[in-house]
Amino acid sequence: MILHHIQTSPNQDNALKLCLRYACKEDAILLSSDGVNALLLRQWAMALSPFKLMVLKDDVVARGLSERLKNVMLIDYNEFVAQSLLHDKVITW
Amino acid sequence: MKKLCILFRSAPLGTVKGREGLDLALLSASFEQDVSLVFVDEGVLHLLKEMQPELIDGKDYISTFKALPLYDIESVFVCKQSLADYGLSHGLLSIPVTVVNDEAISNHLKSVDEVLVF
Repeated sequence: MILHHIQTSPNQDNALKLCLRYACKEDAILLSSDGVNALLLRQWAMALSPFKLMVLKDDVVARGLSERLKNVMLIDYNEFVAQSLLHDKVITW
Repeated sequence: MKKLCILFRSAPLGTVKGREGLDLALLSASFEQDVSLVFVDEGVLHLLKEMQPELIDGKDYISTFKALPLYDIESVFVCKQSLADYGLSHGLLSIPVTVVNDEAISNHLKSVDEVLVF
């Protein structure tokens, strides 16, 4: 069980695409920084839908996206730490 | 002894990421860690044997990949799909590698203790 951490926008970087290529269905994906923007685009939202998904709350609120992304699981930094301990390893792409 | 996987996904020369990944690999191996390397996406370009980084003032860290066996780094995997995406064949590569499919890479990432992406 791996926690995949994506910090970059899919428009800037291939991190999300590669993560999705190698992730297993029991893995979880955490989006932070510009990585949260992926959820605004239908193609990426669809591609992420089979996985357990978490998004760092401060990054969503700071970008004014709380209303737009109200259906995703938002976590704070404490929960981020808890999740990284819960999974076997964290891969930061 | 930890199983450490270093995954190269960035192109060589444009950034220092590849060199950092290689430095970490050699350093970890010399501290007796079980190191494996995985090349995916643009990272596969690190392996082209005809690279001449000095022409564009790049540091030739690429040739250091040939030293991997000296450090007992024997697990070097390359993503088959990425080679195909970039139109490359096995014969263009500078070091012996194992070409594997996506599923094998997923399983490898699962099996190691840590994965660091460069």
